[in-house]
Amino acid sequence: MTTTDVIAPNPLRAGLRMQRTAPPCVLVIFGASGDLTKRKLMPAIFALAQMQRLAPTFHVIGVASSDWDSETFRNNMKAAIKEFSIPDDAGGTDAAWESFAARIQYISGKFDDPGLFQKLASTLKSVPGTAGNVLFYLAVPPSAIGTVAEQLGRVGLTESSPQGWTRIIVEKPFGRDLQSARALNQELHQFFKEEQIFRIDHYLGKETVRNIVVFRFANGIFEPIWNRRYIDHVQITVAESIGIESRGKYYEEAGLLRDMVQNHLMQVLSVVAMEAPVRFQGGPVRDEKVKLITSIRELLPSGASNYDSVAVRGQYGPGFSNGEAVAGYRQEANVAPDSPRETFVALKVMIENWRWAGVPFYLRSGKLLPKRVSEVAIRFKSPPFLMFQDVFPESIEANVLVIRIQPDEGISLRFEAKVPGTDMRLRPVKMDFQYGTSFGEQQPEAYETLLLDAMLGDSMLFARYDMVEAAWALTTPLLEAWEATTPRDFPNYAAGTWGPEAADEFMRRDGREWRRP
Amino acid sequence: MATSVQLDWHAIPSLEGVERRWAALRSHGGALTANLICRVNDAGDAERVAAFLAQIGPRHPSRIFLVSPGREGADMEARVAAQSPGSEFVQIGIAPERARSLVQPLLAADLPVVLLWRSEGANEGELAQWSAIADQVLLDAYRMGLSAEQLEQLQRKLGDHISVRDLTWTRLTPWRQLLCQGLETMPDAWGEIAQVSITSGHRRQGERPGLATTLLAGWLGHQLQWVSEGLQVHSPSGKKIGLRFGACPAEEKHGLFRRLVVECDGPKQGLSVVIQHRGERLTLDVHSGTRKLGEWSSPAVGELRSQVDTLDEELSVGGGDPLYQASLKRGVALLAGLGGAAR
Repeated sequence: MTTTDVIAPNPLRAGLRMQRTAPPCVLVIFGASGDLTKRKLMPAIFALAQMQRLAPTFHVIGVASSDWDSETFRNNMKAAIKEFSIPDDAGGTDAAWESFAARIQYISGKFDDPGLFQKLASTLKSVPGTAGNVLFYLAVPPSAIGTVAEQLGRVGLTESSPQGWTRIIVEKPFGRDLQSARALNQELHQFFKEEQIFRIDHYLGKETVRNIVVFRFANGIFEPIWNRRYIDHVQITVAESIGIESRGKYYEEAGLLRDMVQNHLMQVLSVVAMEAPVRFQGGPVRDEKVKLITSIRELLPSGASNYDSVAVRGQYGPGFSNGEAVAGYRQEANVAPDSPRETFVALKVMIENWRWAGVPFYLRSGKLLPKRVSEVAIRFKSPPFLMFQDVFPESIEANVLVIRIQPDEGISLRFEAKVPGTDMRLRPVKMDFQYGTSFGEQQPEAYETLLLDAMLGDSMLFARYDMVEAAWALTTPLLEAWEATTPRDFPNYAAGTWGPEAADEFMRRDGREWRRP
Repeated sequence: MATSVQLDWHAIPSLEGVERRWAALRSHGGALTANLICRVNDAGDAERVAAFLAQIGPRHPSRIFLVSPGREGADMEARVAAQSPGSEFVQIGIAPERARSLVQPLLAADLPVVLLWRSEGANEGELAQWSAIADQVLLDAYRMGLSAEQLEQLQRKLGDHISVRDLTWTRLTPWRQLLCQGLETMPDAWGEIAQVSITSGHRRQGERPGLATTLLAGWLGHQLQWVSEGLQVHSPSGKKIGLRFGACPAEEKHGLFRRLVVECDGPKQGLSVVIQHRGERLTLDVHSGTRKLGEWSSPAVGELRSQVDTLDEELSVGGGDPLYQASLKRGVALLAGLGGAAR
């Protein structure tokens, strides 16, 4: 049970325009001396503080094994905020920082030491004005999640009560396959109820993922045509123009299917294709997303012995990116010279429900592709009868609706128009809407949105256990099949190109082609 | 947000083709979100208002009409400008009785028409003329020097078909926000309020509480369902609530308020929330007895929250605000009940 369930809402907040402010609480960060805390969490928290989105009594307690005291932690975080905040957020005055820093503490210790957690429990009791609300943030390696959860349970810090809520944020990756994801969920569920657990995937905090929901369900004109009757196919592309950079060790373990497809692309796919939730709230939205993912046909086609007709993997070799020569994946640091790890994936996904039966969803993601772009392209069917063929024999392009997620977030629609003149000539034109030029608003950083949501108990943008498991259930057989067979053609695409030839061939077999974003 | 934005004006002989002109000037295109009509005094005034509105152009791209009475004996004078991205501007100097007929065909279709009403130099006839084609009237009653009663009167004249919004109410947002956050440090503290002291930022001893004080007291009274009987104010449970209205020392000037103090009794005894205007900031202090629970410092409110900031908030909200109307009504009733005690 959470506090908000038993305490009447503040009547003074009703009708207040800035409603999304967090209730009083303590944020306890495990892994407080790590990279994530300094690069993302503290800048986001300070930005929220600067915008008065946090309570005046909001506290931060950093917990890590580094031998720091509170003063050192505060100094390090002040420097981190200066370095990593976006300029507007870093502009807080010294007075604002001092006021904020006065409520930051640090506790040093090992996560397997019960004494650390007893000390944390007594520190939490001594923090005034936070109504007993505690948010734990586990910025720790996956292997430490179970230990921290268990230690919190042992000292009685995992229970929510009418006197205050307790929530826990867990960072991705949520396992590395179905089995490990289930084990992690079971471990967490021993000490926390599902409604207390917030699995964070920063990709879901991006504005456009939420904008897709608004675009689809706040406009009456799109839903009637958002189905198999009018849509030919959908392409979802998440392309990166950079390689793996310094993450060789991680990538050798993970690969792109785990790193991008199982989480980010599945989340985008679910938002694009789900049925209308009954309310814009965590439960109903997440129910629909899970329903959608569980309606995806298993990837291995019936009767097929391999995945070649529905999946293509690739690995980049040396090439050029933005005019610069770049090394191939196997030449990157901490990567095996004969590594079989994929840096490109193309997938064909079929959804088995009334809305989407027969409509392929093509998912594509890769490293060192020509440009950084994330988009969803909805390609509509051509008109049933082309009456212009006699006067305009050239082919007519189908309508394409593109939802750009990054960069230049926006929506465009391609349609045919008559070229002015006495002749009958048609030309495709693009109607473009860009969030940046239409609203000029600075978008919040994903962590700002997600931290505030967790404090407010809004779980909509966080992954629920069944969503995580459904996505792993879909992708694990493919992962296992790929891991069991060594790709003979790796590297099979040059850095700076749109992936392997096999990916194009895979589309050609369906009589389609990839969009060039 | 930028403090000054220069627009590149282009004089035009007529309003014919002005939409094509805007399209050419706004090379990036982009969507519009509203029509804004603003009565200005002359070209100089138009320039100042346009520079001000240009600051929020990228956030609220609008088709903006700046209409002035025109020079004696001159025919229509017009010029256009556009931001890219941002708003489209046209400044028209013309006899007031002809202005509406020029503006109406140029309104961007299907978008709300907001009348930014500044009273300087205009008469009520013009207000009636423009409000007839507007969906919303947005005024700054505090700067116009309107009392709560005068504001109510104006709203009655405009009728129910149009929503009236006021930047005075918008300026209260940070005060209301901080009070909410302060009281939320203890569950249900709002039900235990025993004493509210509002010290004006500009009212001198002996003067009646102003519009902002009326709105703030009215908002508390409306949301917490306070009942006033003569000189007494009670909570729904019958608890007596003290309302005090302080004046500002003669040597000080603070904008809307100098200080707001809310104190609780009952189970939350000792909880006090103090919001004060200090230089360029609002500060919030929350105490439980003598123990400080927390503090907050809110930037960028200045002596008066800036017009750019407040207009930005208003345009972000759109539509009417029933809470504003209800707060105004309750505030007027509350202060009328207290009579001379409110001075």
